[in-house]
Amino acid sequence: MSDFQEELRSEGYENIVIIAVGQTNISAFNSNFTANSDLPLVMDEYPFLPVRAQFSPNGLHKQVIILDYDGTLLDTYTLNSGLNWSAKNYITDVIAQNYEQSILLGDINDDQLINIQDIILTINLILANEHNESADLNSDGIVNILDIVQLVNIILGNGQ
Amino acid sequence: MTFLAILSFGIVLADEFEYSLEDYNSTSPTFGSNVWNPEYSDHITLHYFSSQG
Repeated sequence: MSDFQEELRSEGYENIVIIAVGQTNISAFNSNFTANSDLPLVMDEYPFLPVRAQFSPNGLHKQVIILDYDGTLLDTYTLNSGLNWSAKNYITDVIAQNYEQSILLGDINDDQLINIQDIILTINLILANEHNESADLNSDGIVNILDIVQLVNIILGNGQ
Repeated sequence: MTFLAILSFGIVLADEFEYSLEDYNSTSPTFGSNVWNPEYSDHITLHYFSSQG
């Protein structure tokens, strides 16, 4: 499971986490999991198992429940045959359809930095009369001199 | 008391799934913190259940 999380993150799905939900009464799984993984492990309190009860009728043995950012259910997959190619593909598809890429306003070239290169690219956008969501810093639907001013302020540390 | 706490847990969180429990894996980067909230509240989360050793 750790390897799969790494694979997902290497494909650009940084904000993905796989959490194991064990039980306080199954120490074998809990200890085996922690010995072979760097993924979070939480323990559902036996005998009431409130986490499992919350997910009911899901939350069965070997089931992976995929939730959106706000906790809504996206899909489930039961690993009856382990985490094989088919399972990975299915889960990856669900994530790909729902993953939200974060946009750093002002980072026109998407290098995770805001600097003079982004100003140049923004000027080029204005001259070409093109629109770019990252360049529209004031979100008025137009890329113009006001966005350049805001971009300069960000670089100078006077804005966000 | 424990029963009431569990009952409240279920009622409050009935519409959307959510829990906040301590990470017990000492080799996890979030060991000792509560997951999935607050540590992974901005993540798509995959919850792998096991009920057998």
